Amino acid sequence: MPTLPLQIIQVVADLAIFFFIGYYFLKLRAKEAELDKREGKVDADYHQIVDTALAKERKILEDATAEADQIIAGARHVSQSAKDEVSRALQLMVVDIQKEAMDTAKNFTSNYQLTLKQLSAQSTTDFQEIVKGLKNDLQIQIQQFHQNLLPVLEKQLEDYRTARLAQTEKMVTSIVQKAAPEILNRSLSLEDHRSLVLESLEKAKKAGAFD
Amino acid sequence: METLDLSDFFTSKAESSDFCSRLATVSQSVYETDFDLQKALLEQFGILKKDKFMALLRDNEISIESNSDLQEFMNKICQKASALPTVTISLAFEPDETILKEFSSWFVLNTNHQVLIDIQIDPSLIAGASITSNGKFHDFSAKSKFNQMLSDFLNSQSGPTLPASPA
Repeated sequence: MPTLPLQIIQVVADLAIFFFIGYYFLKLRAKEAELDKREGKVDADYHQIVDTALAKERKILEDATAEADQIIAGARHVSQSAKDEVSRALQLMVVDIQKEAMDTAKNFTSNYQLTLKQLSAQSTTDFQEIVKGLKNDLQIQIQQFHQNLLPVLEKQLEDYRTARLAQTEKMVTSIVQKAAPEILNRSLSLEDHRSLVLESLEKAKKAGAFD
Repeated sequence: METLDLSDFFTSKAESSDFCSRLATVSQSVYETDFDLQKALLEQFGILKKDKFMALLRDNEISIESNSDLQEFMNKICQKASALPTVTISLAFEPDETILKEFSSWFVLNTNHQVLIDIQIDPSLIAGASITSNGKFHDFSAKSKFNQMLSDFLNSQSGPTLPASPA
């Protein structure tokens, strides 16, 4: 019998629990729907912003491109005309420079030729003078050589010749003195030598060598 | 005692020394038991000189049976050999044995005594000989005459007097 209240209480509790759970489910579902709605709105806003930005970007790019094209076209025009102008100026400058260079070269050449002529004239004059001086000095030296050195040289040569002759004669004498005895010695036979020695012994005996 | 003629055994001083040395060898063996004089002489001097020595013994009447006489005689020979005078002869050529004997014989014939000849060879003498005897020197070679002739000839060619050639 006590179990019935318990069971009732339990049922009531369960029902409360189910009620709360159901309530929360519904609440959650509502929140979820709200969230989805907000999310959808955010996405739409985002897409709108992005599209707007992209459109603006395209416009900016187009404007910039157009302006750049204009500037480039303008610059091309300026560049071409400047080029033409510069070319004309350069051509004029080249002509002027060429003319001036030719004038300068002509002047330089004429000055150089004039200077060379002056130098050669001066050198020729100096050279002639030097040659003249050398000629005079040479004549004086030749004269002095003939007067002083030549007799001395001749005397020295003569002395040398005499000395060499004497030396040669001495050498020949020495050779004859050395060679002749040997040749004479070998030209005598043993018998001749024997006879001559016996003659020497006889002479020695007569001279009293063995007394 | 007959005078000893040793000219058949040696002519020069070197030969004399060699002869005396060999003779001394024979003399030392005289008193040996089986001493044979002829055999000993043959061994030392050869057959020719052995015969001449035997003849010398006979000429000097030395008995070969008496060992003491033999020894005494041999010693006397050596004494005489060492006492012989020496004559130095410088020659321009090298004489053979025959010529040396002839020179030695010349001394025996012309001076009546044997001498020992000391031969020296000097080719610069050209010919003839220079002799040194009894301490005296005599130049009988052709060298001095040749030098004089050469000097005279050169002087006649060159004019001024040239110094004489060295001896």
